[in-house]
Amino acid sequence: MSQFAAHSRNKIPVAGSDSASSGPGTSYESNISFVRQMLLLFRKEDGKGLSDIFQKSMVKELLNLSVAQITSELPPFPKEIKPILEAFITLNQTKMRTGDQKALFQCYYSLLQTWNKYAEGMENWVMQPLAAVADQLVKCAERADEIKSSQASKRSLNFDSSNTNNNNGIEEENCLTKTGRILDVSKRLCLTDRNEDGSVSKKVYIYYFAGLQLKIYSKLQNTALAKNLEKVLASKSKELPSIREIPKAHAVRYLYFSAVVKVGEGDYSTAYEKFQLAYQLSHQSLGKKLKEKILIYLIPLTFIMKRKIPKAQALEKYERVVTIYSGLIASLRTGNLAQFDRFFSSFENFFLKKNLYIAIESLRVSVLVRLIKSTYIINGSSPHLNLNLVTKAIELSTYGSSSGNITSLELTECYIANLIYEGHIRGFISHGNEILVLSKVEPFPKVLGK
Amino acid sequence: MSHNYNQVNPTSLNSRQGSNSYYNNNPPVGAGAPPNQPPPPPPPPQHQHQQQQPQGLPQSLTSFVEQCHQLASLRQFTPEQTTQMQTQLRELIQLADTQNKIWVNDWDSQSIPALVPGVALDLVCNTQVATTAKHVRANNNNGKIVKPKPKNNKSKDSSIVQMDTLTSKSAKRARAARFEQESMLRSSSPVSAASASMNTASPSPGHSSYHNDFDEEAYARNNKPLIGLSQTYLKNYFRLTSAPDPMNVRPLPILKQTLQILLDKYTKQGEKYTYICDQFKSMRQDLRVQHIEEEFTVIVYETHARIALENGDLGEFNQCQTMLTSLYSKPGIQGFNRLEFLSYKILYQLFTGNIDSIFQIRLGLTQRELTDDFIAMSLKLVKSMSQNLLNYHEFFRLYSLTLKTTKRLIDQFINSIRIKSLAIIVQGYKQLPLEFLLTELRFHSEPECLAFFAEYKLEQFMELKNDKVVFNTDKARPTVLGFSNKARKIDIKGQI
Repeated sequence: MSQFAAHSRNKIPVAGSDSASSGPGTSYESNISFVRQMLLLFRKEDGKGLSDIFQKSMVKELLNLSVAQITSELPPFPKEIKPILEAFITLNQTKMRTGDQKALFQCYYSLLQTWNKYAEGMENWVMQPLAAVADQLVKCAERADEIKSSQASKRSLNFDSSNTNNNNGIEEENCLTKTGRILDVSKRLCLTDRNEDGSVSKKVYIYYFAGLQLKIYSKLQNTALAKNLEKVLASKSKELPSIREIPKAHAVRYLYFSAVVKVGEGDYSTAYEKFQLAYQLSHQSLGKKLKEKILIYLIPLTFIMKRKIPKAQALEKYERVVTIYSGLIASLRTGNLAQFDRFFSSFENFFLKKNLYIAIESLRVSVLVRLIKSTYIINGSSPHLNLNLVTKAIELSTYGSSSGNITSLELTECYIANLIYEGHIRGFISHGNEILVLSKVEPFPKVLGK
Repeated sequence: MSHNYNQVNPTSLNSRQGSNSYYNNNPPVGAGAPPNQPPPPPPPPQHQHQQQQPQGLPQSLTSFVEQCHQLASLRQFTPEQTTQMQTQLRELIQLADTQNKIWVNDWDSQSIPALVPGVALDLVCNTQVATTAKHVRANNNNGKIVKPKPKNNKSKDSSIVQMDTLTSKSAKRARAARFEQESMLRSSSPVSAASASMNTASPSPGHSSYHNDFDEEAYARNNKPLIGLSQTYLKNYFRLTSAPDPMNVRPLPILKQTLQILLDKYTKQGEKYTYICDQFKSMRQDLRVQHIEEEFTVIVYETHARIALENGDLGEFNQCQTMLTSLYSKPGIQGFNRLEFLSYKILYQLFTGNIDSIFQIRLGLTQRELTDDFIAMSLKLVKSMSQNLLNYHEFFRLYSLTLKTTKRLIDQFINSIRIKSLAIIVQGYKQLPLEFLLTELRFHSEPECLAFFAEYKLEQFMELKNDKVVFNTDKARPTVLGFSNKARKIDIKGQI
């Protein structure tokens, strides 16, 4: 088949064609007319049409073309488009030639550069194809970095230790880091658009790029950059479109990653609001997987903010959420420290990665309060609670009845002092009498998150 | 379990002196060996010639052979590599002999493939191309002796073979030649060409206009390593203001002995920390300008870090810690104490409130690393100091189990943790016997405890009740809370 193609192509004399072999492309004429169509889309400012083309995994019409051919063949077109065409042709020809993700990343990177440059003088129709290119750049960077890290781990195993000279002194930056930086340029395009007319302003796309960058930073575990981005957005919040007015998918991604940053900062109330909004926006339109992702944050945050535990039926259909949180929910209800500790240690790494570690850890305090309150009630709600009784309760709850582990009175006192300090208990410890003297009014007040 | 931890001895300064496996494994460059002693066996041809016709060899040839061996020991050649090098030397000298070029050849510019990969095994006068290599630079200086001048050595180390000093003229000439050769070599790649031009021009006027000081770090990064020629063990630290002079830089074998001398001075002779610290800094500088990054470098930084902590110098400790992190990641460095020092990093981040970076470290640890005694201990301490619940009871219990460097590191922050704990305690109690605080906050002695209370102006809240000293937490509350709020702002010099 490719022979046929080569044959038909060879009939047409091509100036400056240096690639002797022809790929699985179509005829030269149809290739040229494809480019003509592309240029037409540029002229019509058809963002959707262009974004469709730039999303294609491979554009076979471009495999045997060069920009020189295009300019000689077609009527003059704006010279600003030329770099984009050039980069796009290189990308497609590289794709055909190699599967090397690093090389492809370079191509996508240059392509986004050309789009960034081109978009400067344009209205917001250019943002759709630009965003499509950015999206693919991120995906390609992820693949390239994965390959690199797996190769690096292989190499370090059989490294020649005699060569200690500094050939490896400067470590190469990974692709995601580079991507994060070039997206700054795209984001700035949106931020600095002075166009008064909101319907053509590029500002609509700000949350698209911010969300993409936050996603990258979260992958790179770079909280500093993420916080910085949030700061910049907050300072410009007045000039930006409302999050409810932009495409839902953009909004949800941004809200999600922005809320994750807030959880890490310990700002639970803002995080809670953002997750809630993201959940509302995604409620009808978006898939179960995404909702699960949001619920993983919303469940602990709802407890922290409102002291509310979700009902079992409400969660039933989200199996993943149930698997993770059933232990937590039960221990919060019963004050079972052992159960909480089991739950926490089995998902420790998961929570570390999700920025949730400290938030979840704070729930152990609630389990502890629950336990002490139960002890108080069982003891007849007397304002004088024997500390030895509490110690025994903590010991049983932490280790069960069989083990020989002993909780000391001092540890109990330390726990209770902390609970008083944080306002979970009203009262004071009488060290000499070994009792906790509780307030007659509301000895265990509800402490809501701030 | 806790007992287990107690048995772990962080490699201490004392144990390091006697039984350091590192030194024992490397006899050729061992700390005890005089640096200039040629490793056995010497190449036979040279030996014969010297025996039969004493004046038959040029000085430059002898020093060339000597330098080759020195380099071999510097690079810690394996026996196979050494034999290969000796064979090449022998061939080369025989070649010179048969071609009658022993006196013609420029031995100062000579190099051999065993030391400079890619170079042909031929006499330099035959190739007509000025080959160059790092070791040749050293040769340039060494070969053209103008005036052997004994150095004025104040220290008792003068028994060591003295290197010949250069007159400034020949030094300049040698350096000029070196730069020429380097830029020739470097012009092959654009990046290195740029750095070469920087090198020649240093200190360049453009550079100094925005940076008053000579940038040591940048110099070390951008320049080829030099080989030090200094044979003096002890050297005060000076911040470099220009490119380092090889005559003032100590090569690795000397530095190895320097470390021993310093350790003796510190542990046995009770030398002051300011002096020891200064000496360590100059050692670190010499290592850096020579790009020496190997186990010995690690030992220097680790030792300095420990000594710095013993003397409450968090700034130096931090600098060493930062460097160690990067050293441990270098291929070819075993990093026997990597996890120990990682545990210090974790603790340091804990006390400076940088919990995020602890989490990042944690995520990078394997299951096996998590069970390491040092790591496990530091993570337990992290857990006890959670911002959700400051478990001071557990924290101070763990603290009492720590040893040596770990304990010293915690000691740097212990009082601020005590005041934070006290802030919680004063909220929970109306009064407390002093004895309880003494044990709960693990003061080592009653005077230490009283000193602490005096420091925070809390002794006024001590009362005597029924022959017992009681701390009136109720009254002390505002004072304690004031201090604990202040303690949050920790001011520490040095980088993280």
